[in-house]
Amino acid sequence: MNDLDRNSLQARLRAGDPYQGEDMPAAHARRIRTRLRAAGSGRFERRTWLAAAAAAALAAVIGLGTWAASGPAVPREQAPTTAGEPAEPEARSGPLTTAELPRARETARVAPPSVRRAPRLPVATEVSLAVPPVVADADREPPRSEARRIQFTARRGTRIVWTLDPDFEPNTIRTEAPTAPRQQGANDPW
Amino acid sequence: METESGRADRLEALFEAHHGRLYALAVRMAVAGDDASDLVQETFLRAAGARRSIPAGDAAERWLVRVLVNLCRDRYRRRRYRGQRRAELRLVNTTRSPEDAVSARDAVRSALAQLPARRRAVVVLRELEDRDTADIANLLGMRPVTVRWHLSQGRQQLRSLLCGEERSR
Repeated sequence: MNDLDRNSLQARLRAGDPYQGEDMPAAHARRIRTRLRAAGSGRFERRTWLAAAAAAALAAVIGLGTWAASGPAVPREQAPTTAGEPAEPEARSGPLTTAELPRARETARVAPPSVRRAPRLPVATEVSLAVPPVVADADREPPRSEARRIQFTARRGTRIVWTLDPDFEPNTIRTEAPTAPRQQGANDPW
Repeated sequence: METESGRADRLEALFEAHHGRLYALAVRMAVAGDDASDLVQETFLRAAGARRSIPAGDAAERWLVRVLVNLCRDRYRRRRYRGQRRAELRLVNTTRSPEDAVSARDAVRSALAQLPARRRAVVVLRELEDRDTADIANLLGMRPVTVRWHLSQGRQQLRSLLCGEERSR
């Protein structure tokens, strides 16, 4: 296996020595000198610091922009209201308390366009009159005729207010399926 | 406090003093696909990045040699991971003209490339640069007994590689 003794191996290695005494190519040496001069004068360091500072500033701007776009957690009292509408407390699904009743009635007066379009004014009037003036009862369910609002803030700060139709009844009348896809929703009053 | 021009001058002085010697070592340590000039450049750029840790005087050469060997070691590991060693072995076995000096160089270069970088450095420094064990140990930051062990293992590997190549012809 080891046919080469130590001297033969050395001779063999020297015969095939990859380095033949040549110098580094002048162009390469020049290039390295130039880079070393730049590195020694701190130009690279300055560039690194500049790049780091620029990256930090960019990250801060992006972070602030994202934060502003997604809407900071504004207290409900300070939240902007829409079109002259008074600020409302967040609607809840639990029973109403006495303190909340007047506000609930106010809410009922401001109806969304869809409710305004529907010819249900007499019912709504009747509703607001039918609200009992007092009696706090924790177990009392909200009157059926009270319009309830659910409002929440979406990710980008968009306030979404849903007004629930107090007289809504599920449509139990079965209508015929549309004959073509383009007719879908054609009879939809919404 | 070292001034900018002082730093640049020191780096240039280091380059002028050691680049020839490092280039020779890089050519011998380089495996297929490596450019010796790139290795030298990388070594000096690392020196520029860590100039405060470069010792003064003769120790600077030791420091630079170790950086170069470590660079070769990194590249050797990457290459081994990619399975390029097998490709290099095939290259050795397909050499057809042993009389040609270029072929001999290729054979030695390919055989050296099979050794791990530190072992290759030990063999190159001992067999091709005639350094003694103590000097190599000093340069590479090893104990002399480790140098001897690497040398013995390296010679054994090279013998089998070079003889295997001859038999395959």
